[in-house]
Amino acid sequence: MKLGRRRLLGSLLSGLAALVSGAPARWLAAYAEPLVTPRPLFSPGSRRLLAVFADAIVPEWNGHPSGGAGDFTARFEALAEVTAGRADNYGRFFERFVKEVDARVPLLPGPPDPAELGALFERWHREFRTETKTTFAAQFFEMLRRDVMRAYYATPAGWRSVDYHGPAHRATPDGGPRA
Amino acid sequence: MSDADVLVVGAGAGGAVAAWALVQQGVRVTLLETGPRFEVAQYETYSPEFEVRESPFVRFESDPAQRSYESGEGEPLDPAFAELTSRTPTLFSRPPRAGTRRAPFLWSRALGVGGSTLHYQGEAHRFPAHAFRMRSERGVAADWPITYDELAPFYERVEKLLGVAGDPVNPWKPPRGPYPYPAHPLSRASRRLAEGARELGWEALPNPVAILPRPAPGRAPCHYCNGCVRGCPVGAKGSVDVAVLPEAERSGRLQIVTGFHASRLEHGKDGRITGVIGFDGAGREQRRRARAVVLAASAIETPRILLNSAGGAHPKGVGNANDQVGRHLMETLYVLRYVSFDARLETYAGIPLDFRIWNGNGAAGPGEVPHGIVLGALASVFEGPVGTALEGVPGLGRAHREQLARRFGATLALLGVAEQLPRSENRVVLGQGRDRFGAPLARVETRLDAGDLAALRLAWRRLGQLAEAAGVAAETGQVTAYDQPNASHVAGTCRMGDDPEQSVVDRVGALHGRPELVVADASVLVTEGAGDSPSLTLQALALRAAEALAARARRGEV
Repeated sequence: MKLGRRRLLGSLLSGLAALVSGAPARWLAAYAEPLVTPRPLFSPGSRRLLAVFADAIVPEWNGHPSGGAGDFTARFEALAEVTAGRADNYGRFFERFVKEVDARVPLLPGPPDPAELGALFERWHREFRTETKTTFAAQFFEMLRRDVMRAYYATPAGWRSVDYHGPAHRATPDGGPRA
Repeated sequence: MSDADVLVVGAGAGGAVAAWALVQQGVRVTLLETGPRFEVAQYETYSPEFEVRESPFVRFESDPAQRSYESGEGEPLDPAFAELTSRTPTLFSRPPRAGTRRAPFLWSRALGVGGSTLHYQGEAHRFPAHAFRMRSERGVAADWPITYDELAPFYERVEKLLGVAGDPVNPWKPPRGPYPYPAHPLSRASRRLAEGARELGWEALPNPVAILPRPAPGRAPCHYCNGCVRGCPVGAKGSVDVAVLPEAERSGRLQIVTGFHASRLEHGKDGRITGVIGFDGAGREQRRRARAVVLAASAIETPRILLNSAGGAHPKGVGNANDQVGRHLMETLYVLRYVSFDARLETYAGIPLDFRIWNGNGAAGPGEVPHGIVLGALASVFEGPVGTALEGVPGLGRAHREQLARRFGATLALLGVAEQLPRSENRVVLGQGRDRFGAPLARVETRLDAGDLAALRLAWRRLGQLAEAAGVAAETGQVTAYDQPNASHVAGTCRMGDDPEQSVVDRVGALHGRPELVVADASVLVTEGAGDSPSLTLQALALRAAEALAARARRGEV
């Protein structure tokens, strides 16, 4: 199903609302799958939405043989635990974000199209900068991008995807074989 | 009661060398360090998550409970230098609008036994001879009270102590003998850049580094993991916790006390310095006494301690009768231009800073500046896949993935470091805020002047020339001190000199009029060494100062 931008925007915003409220948005039902063990950082609905974002940011994630969306969110939360202040940051940004969009945009149902997320993020960024004179939306999505990439590329699968074998794999000054 | 003959405050580059030198002279030393002591096993170089786990010792002062300084909003940016504006790949094709003011001062430091040598990349530079005579030879800044020749024997001894590898042939430096170890071979990327430099008539020379190319007692050779900033997992890097302190401890005359936060100096009615007052981890006040004190807490913490010791015979702070403590702060003027080559060069392997170009250190030509400028490349800037994905490639999704596949192992940052000339108004003072022990925070007041900006611009332009000559495929971003101060090298706040009205310590690092108090960190530097890294110089000065202190003690002068 091809969604219009407004519909797409609304669906993602409803999902973001679910991140804070914990109330499942209607479209999330379409993604109903067994969830990995719940963690304190995100509600089940939040985890599903994060997985959608993750798939847009690193498409390989869901194709990873040992992974899938559940794998990502669990890892995401694990990394949040080792990064001081990260969980607090998410809570703060989600709360601010949803408060602002709730006041401006009606929530509409429908699953998001990951392929359009990049353009959508940019549009949000412009809108928020223009209309609210803040850059917090930009900061929020930059933070999300950073954490998704950190979660993926700090794994053996992420290393393999760029043919990397670790920092001490080739113990010579130029990375070549030892003579 | 005396705990030791001498108290040394700060177990970093200078404090450790001073402590080592004192125990060699038969002096009993207690070394006081705020941070903990680390084991190399704590450096997670081999973990898949090495890039995302925070280094155990790095403190960027983001934690209010840990911070020791405050800084106000930076000065307005000069739009005439807009090409220096920092920009890094982001999610958005149009990054957030650049600010109109310089970001607040950021001090990149490490806390723990080893201090900043825990995260330094081993650069072991002797300053060029002209750096000691900037007023006489360049007409700017000030002359040191000592010359290169006076310091050279101490440079040589510290190089042996740390295990410095280098090539003695360097036309930009005074003639010298061989280094303790031969230079490391250049990485593939550095060889490519060296070819570009040659086309420009420049020389990319091996960077002298305190990194072992072959084993030494108790230390393994470098395995070229490129991860010096996270702590060397094999002890190849000459951080002082590995290369200096173990031998000093074996003497039986050195006690290292961790978790001691030095706050102020204790002094008697006659003004004599009698000890150090600080706090342990539980916030309990502690007093340590000795015949002499060596301050080596950094160019920000040392003036804070001196200024926070005001009272009695030192109403304006210890050593501050002439309002010189804290002045002449020099930060790090850097330019990083991120570049990507068209071929994979394994940029994540090798010595992180394995070459330098000193051609900018000659006498200033037309359109140039008197500041020294040193160029190189920072291979470690992206570390591994995470860093490259985040900072080396913009955007997200499949397009990001495709670009990352091309750029991983092919990206690095060209690095230019320009010398900042000392100015009285750039300084450390006591701020309004308080640390967790109730002491005033240091307040860092620093601005760039027209000369600093011109030097940054020249470094930026030369890196652009180097990029073009080396045939880089793309430039993907840049970060500069123009709008993003990030000082790993800070210096000059207790400058050395013969005139007490213009300096804080004398030519052997002792406070003017108080021979029992010595400063042995980068505070004493008069100039920044033409863009070279300061650690070896401050260590040579610390060695010299400690031996002079031991001699005074033998003569009964302290």
